[in-house]
Amino acid sequence: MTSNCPPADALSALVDDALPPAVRDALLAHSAACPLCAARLAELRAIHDAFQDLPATPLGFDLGARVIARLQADAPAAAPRCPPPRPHWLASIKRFFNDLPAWRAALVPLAGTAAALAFGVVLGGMLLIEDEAMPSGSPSATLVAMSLFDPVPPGNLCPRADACAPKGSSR
Amino acid sequence: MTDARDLDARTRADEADVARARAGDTAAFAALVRRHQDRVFGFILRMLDARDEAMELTQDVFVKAWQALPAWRPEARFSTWLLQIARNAALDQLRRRRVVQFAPLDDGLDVADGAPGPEERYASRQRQARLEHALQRIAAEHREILLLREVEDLSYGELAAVLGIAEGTVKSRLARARAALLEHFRPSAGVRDD
Repeated sequence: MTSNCPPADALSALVDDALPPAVRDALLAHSAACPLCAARLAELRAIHDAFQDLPATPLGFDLGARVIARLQADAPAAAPRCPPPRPHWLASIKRFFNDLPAWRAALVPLAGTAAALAFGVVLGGMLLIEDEAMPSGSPSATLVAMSLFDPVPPGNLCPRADACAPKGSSR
Repeated sequence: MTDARDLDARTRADEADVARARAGDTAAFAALVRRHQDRVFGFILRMLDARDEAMELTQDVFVKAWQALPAWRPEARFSTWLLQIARNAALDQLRRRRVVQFAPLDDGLDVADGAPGPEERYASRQRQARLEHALQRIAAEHREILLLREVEDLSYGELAAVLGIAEGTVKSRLARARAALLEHFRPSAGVRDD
């Protein structure tokens, strides 16, 4: 090949008709005038033609039926792979822990409210506890502790005389 | 050369069958197999030059295609995508062999008799035999690109996608593959014309 000759991959691309028209025309013009490139191009075209003459290679039987039979035999392993669905309960637990930070922000005031309510209920329950000294059925027996909320007489620490005195003591 | 209209019709049929196969329609997948089995087998046979091995590998290719169906995108033709799977399977098999095989000239490949006269028939048979012989003597990398270009008629762009290389590399690799093939294809091994 002379220094004016195109590179080998240009002649190869010419056989594939993979060159821009202007480049192709220039190459053809050069090959017409250059014996070496003409010979090379003829060889490349000869192998291209030989490929076109290659015989077909049919399998000779229906592979479709065999492939389907094999897929059905291997069914669990051969099914088109889609991500397996997660168990519902697992997804729910994962969602709960993912949402936990947001829930924490809402839980704190809710917990405080619930605690306050519970405390109030307990206190209210205590107010209804019967005093053993009171005769049963006495109308004043039910609200002994309510005296805590009565105004304290001036100078007294105890709201009532019997609120602070231990049982059995005399005043 | 494939007629463009035939190619479009086949491509549309492939896309329709792929859509049905993805939904679990095995009859649609069987239709795809029948449509492409000879092409895939022919490519693998010429890569491996062993008929039984090629038959088994062809079946494996379609099983892999079934498993990978969710991954197929219509930007690539289904036939091109199949050839990519076939190419990978053939190269894996060649790597497993890890020996250079020199196949007998007449091994498993029937030479078609298409020429009109006896001399032309003989010359045609000789040329085909020389080509098959030469194909088995070049590197697998060169053999695959020649088969995909010359037999499967893939464009440079499709070759780049199947082989995972740039189009510029396709052009230079094809040139080297043809040069390598010519070394074994010429009727008499002689002086190179550089």
